[in-house]
Amino acid sequence: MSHGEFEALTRPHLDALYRFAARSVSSAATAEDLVQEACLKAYRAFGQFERGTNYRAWLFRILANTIVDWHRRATRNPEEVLIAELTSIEPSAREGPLDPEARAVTSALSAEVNAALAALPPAWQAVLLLNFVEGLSYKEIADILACPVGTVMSRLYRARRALRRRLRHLLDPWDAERAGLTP
Amino acid sequence: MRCDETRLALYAMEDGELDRGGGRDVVVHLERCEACRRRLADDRRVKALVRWQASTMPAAPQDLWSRVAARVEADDAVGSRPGARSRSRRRWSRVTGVATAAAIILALVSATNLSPPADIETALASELVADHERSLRRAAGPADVPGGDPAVILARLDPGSRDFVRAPRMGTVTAALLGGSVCRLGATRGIRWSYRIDGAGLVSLYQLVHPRSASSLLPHAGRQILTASGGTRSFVLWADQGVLHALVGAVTEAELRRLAARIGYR
Repeated sequence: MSHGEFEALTRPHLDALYRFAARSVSSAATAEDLVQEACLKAYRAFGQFERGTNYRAWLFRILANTIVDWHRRATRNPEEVLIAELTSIEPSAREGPLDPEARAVTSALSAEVNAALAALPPAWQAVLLLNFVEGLSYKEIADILACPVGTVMSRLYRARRALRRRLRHLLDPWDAERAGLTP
Repeated sequence: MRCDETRLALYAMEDGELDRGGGRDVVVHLERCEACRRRLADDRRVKALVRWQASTMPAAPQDLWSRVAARVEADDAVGSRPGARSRSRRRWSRVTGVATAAAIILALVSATNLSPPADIETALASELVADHERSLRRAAGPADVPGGDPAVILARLDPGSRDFVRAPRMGTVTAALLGGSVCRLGATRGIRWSYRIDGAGLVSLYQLVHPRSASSLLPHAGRQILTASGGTRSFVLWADQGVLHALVGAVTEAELRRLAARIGYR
């Protein structure tokens, strides 16, 4: 496999991998390192990728293992975790159709949803993000996290319930308007 | 089937994980149970919020890929990957498929051979089409808010719902929650929903009002005022109850009319 081929297949997933890593470790620098490490592992192990299966899911499995290894190392070196948490990543409103005023409002909303996600136990959060955001199937998530499909389903159920309760005030959009979130 | 027996199946159905038989049981239950219908609607909104929020997270740094590439090259240089090169080369034919799909999408997005008929609303129609084109070109894809869930948006298309009537006056946050965004076209102000139909058709729905006088903007209120189609672009524009509606999309005019009929166009 040439570098060009590896890039064509892997690079489109870089943002998703980075965002997943950034949520898992709360540090931009660590997330970058973990994504680099995971990509290098993917390149080395490409011969083991099963044709016809989901390449994105395969990449996420490698990244998830890389993150787990990092957490194990970090637990042995608590200082590393502390430094990571001191430089947390702030979500920023995406450049796009919104004007600056609207961007500020959506930034506040984004921070609120982010806080609700961050309050989930890491195992629930991972399942929820892999399903909701990355669109991976229960089976693919079970492979990534090395757990049974039933565990994926129950974690996803609990994560949904926790988010629904925590974001209840946002679920009726007209309530959100009244809550003063409008510009 | 009781509610507590349904919940896992309800979410499995929502996630596309249930076979047709299981889905039928859930649908039968949903028809009778308002609490579960509400739960499902809430879940769709939670999902739309989480997806939208993910789209606001910072992207990978610009130079991250070059750093990955440098490590891969360094790795090759030390020859630590015996055998992998020859095994994997033949596995890359999917790249061609991805490239073809990208080319089709780009062709759809760049097709601008629409020629709206000369009409009093032509200027606004041209703005609508141009705005739709811009919506499709945004980095994150066809939806204004990438996390916008078509199911949530379609649920909004019930002309009997209060949200539908109030849609053009929505605030930015409400629009974002529902997967749309506020837009201003000419003297109008309203809401734009851009979404995908059947994987290929990209459609924007506009609901617009004039800040001062709907009647001055909409002399033909209550009936169709303009339709056009050409190549891969079609649109239909009509007014009803002081609200100007427009559907613009890379689907056939017949398909657009069918969608429009769902939200009051006759």
